[in-house]
Amino acid sequence: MNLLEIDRVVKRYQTKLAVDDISLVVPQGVVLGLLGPNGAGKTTLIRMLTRITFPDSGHIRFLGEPLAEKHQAQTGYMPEERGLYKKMKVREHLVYLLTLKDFSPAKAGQMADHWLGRMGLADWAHRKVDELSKGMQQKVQFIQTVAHNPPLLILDEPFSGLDPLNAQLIENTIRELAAQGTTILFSTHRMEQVEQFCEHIALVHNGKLVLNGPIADIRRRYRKSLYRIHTAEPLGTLTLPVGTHEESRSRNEATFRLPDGTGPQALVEALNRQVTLERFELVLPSLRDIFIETVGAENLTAEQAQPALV
Amino acid sequence: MRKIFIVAAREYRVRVRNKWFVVGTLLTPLIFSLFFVIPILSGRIAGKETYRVWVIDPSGQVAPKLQNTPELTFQASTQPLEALKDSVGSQSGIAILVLPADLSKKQLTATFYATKNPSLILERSLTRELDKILTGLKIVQAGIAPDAMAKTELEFELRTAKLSAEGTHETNTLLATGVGYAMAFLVYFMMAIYGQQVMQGVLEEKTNRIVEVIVSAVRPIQLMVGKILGIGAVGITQSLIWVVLITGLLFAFVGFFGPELAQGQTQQLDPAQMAQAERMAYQIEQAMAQFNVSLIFYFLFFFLGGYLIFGSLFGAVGAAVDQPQDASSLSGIIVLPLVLPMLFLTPVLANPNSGIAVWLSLIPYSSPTIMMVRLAATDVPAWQILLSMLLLVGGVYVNGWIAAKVYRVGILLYGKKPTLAEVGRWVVRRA
Repeated sequence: MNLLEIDRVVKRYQTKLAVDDISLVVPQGVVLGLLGPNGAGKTTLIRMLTRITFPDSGHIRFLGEPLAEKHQAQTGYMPEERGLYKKMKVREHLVYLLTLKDFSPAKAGQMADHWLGRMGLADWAHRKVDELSKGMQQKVQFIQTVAHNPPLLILDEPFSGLDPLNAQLIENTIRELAAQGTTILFSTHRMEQVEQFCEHIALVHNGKLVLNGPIADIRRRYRKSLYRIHTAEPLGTLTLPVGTHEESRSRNEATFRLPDGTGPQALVEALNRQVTLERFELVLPSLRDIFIETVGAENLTAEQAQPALV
Repeated sequence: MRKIFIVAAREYRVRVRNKWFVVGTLLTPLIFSLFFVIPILSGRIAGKETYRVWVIDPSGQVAPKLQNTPELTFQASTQPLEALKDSVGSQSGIAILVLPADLSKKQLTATFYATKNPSLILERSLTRELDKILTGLKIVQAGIAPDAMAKTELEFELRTAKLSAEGTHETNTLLATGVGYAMAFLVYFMMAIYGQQVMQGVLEEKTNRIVEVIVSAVRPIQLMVGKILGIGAVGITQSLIWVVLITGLLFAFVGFFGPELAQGQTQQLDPAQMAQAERMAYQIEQAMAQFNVSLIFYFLFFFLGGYLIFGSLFGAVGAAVDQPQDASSLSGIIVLPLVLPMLFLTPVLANPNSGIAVWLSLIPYSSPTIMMVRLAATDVPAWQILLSMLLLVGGVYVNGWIAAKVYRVGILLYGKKPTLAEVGRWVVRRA
């Protein structure tokens, strides 16, 4: 079953096409990394999934049904820019948002209490939000997103501004939720987080979906004929097959680039004659490499230099 | 509907328990009633001042008629003024009253010497007393028998009555003017104060960055309507508490001091005062008759309509900007139609059926204040009331629709302050 089916969705703003004919399927239980430079259309896409805005054309289906108001209660959304009502008490705040998601006050209270205990905030339940430290406020924001145990979580830069301790706690909780089968849409420009968390990625650039699929497949698709060896003895001078180029080496390791279209067979045989191979492996490109290759290095640097605004 | 109610309930709860709301709601009636209580209390305290008064009466006719009061004890003196002044020196509680010598003059003056100025109440009662004695003496001088003069005394008052289909009923122009002013100002203040609260509330949600989370659960229009209704309910609560507290405090005051005040005055109540009291009662009765139930209904209707129009427009301004100073500059275009009608209050009251009065009472931006004035001051034709109410409902709808469009786009937009033209484009563009 697919949790989300995004079908030829277009969203145009006054001056530009924010989302340009994107189709994307998110299977249930998958953790999907939504990647892309600033202004690529990630936020617009997310806002359509949360029914904050609506597509000009195209369709979105949620568990097979056309996306409707009731699905808002089945989604937990944590925007990148997030805040709380400063004058409300913590528990009251959580209960308020849960009742807006159609839960009865009693049920909402139970959920809030459960999560406040789980995140170590039980003693703060009846304090005003502005009495909490920034880290505690971030935990409240996270609880707010997940407390109703929604089948779909949309997290936009969930770790931005978190201190390491809270980041670890929230990371663990996200992993638990993923293990329980929650579908998670994870929007970020931190490649290492995507590699840690996500099975699938979708890369958006200039309003278009330029890359989409399981990370393993994508990395294989983008592999160069690059191989790494690890030897028992220190490396000396090596004789390589014609066209093979040594990219780098250290004491016991070296990387070789083969000419396009040739298999590793000749290289393995040549090396076996000269050294004792302990490991011989295909080097897959990192997501960062793929990102640069797909959308250009200028986008990567620009986005890491300054955090996204919209 | 349910979500609108949840949003409204939160707005209401958070505002009502705010300590400044509590302080403002409780203090305002207290300050208001102090305006009534202090003059009376200070009068009572000042009334405690007593004087022994040396009276210099060259004609010898006035002093014997002066009667002692709890405050003033009169004693005739034959000493010259300068000697008396010296003997009084700087002692308080002793005064000198110099009466006119030639009572045949038209202009008569007397002088009251004391180390400090007597209270206004004392001064007035002494003036009244002397006026009475001197007039009495003049009547005798003119050869008129005092009883004959007494028979000519009368209290006259012009009462006005309005002819209408339901029969004759009496009116009081001054009272109507007062009620009209009070109603218009009340509507105006409520619209201005609570309208701006809507603006600040929207702006707060935006600068807080909570709004994106909220609109992922409710539609923006629900959030906006809920906020406007919740704040409106706060306004109604506050005014109800004010009305109850002010009446309560005034009654409590009368209960505390009333009997005492009345006791001190019973002996002094003369026929003239009795007549005045009777007239007061008549006026209060008339006020009750004029301030009828329909006026309360109209007040609620026009207040609510006006608040909904200005509240949604203020809300739209709060959504369009993200800096409080930008909000105050942009809200100028809303404050104008809010304040402008107030400048016409006096001309409308002077002539509540003039062309401009009729027009202003029909236009939705000015009708909440101007129609209230006209309703209090005159008999407004039924068709005008009905048309004004219809136009107000239409105005609420149209302004609400425009505001909702601006709000929808504005709440998720950060950055530079939009121009009016840009805001206009938000209104016409699709969602």
